[in-house]
Amino acid sequence: MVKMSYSKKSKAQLFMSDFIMASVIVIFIIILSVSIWNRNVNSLKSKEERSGMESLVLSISDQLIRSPGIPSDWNKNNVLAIGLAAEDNTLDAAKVYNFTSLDIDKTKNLLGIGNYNFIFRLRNTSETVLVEYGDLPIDGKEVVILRRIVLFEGLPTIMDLGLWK
Amino acid sequence: MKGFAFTLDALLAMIIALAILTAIYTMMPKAQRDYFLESYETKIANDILIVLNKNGTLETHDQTFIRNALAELLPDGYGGRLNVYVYECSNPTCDSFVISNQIVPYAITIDKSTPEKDPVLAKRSFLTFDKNRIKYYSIAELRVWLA
Repeated sequence: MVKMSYSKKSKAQLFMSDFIMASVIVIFIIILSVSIWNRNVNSLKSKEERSGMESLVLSISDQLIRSPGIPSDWNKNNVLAIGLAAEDNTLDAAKVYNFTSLDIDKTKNLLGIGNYNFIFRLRNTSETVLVEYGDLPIDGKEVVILRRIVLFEGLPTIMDLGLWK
Repeated sequence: MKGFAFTLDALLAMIIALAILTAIYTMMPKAQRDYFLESYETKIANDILIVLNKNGTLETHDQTFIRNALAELLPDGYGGRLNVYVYECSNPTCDSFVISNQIVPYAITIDKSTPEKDPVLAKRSFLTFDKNRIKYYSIAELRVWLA
């Protein structure tokens, strides 16, 4: 009788320890999965945002250096689409100066970058800044900067276009 | 003994699953990053050829002059190799043009210290005139790589 009672108690203990162990493992897996999921979601969000900024910078830089804009002889009063090209990779100086005299918010709307800040800069090959337009990035913000090579006033010039939020 | 066999199975399955997950995790970000870098490098290589062509640098066929111009325009941290294949007119008056008379091609390399690794390639053809006649037809190929 005593032996039977001992045996029942032992079985119940074994079940409990199995159950506790399984619960600990399951909870551990759930916590680990949730933390990995959250980390990945945040990382994917920031990658997606960066990827969007990269695509925008690539397409805007092409638009600026390959398209004359709409109308092709646009000025700051009648511009519908901004383009700075006299021909491929050759900037029209008058359009560049018209561009830099546009209101920043109007420029953002015309370029389709309403949610972002931008910086446009032309430098000669000795690194002297010839033209600068837009806002300088704030330290610590993620910035995507693209360099293109163009002809400006007959000379090879480096065009930097940066986007940041 | 049955329990032991089950643990080995589970362990093996877990190792395989972890290996697959690790492989996916490490490969995905690389694939996303390369797209922008590759587009940027391709655009830079094309930009440089267009600019060197439009400002008349390539047409000179002066290798020192071209080398200096190329070195100025290549972004820091990039190596480049420009191959130029030059063809002459088939007769002195140049009233017909056959792409067969290739004269000695030349190559200009910037940053020889780093070997070419996954370069992007840009190509452009251009003409050199002499006294309003075509003197040379040339094809320029620029390879750009992250040094």
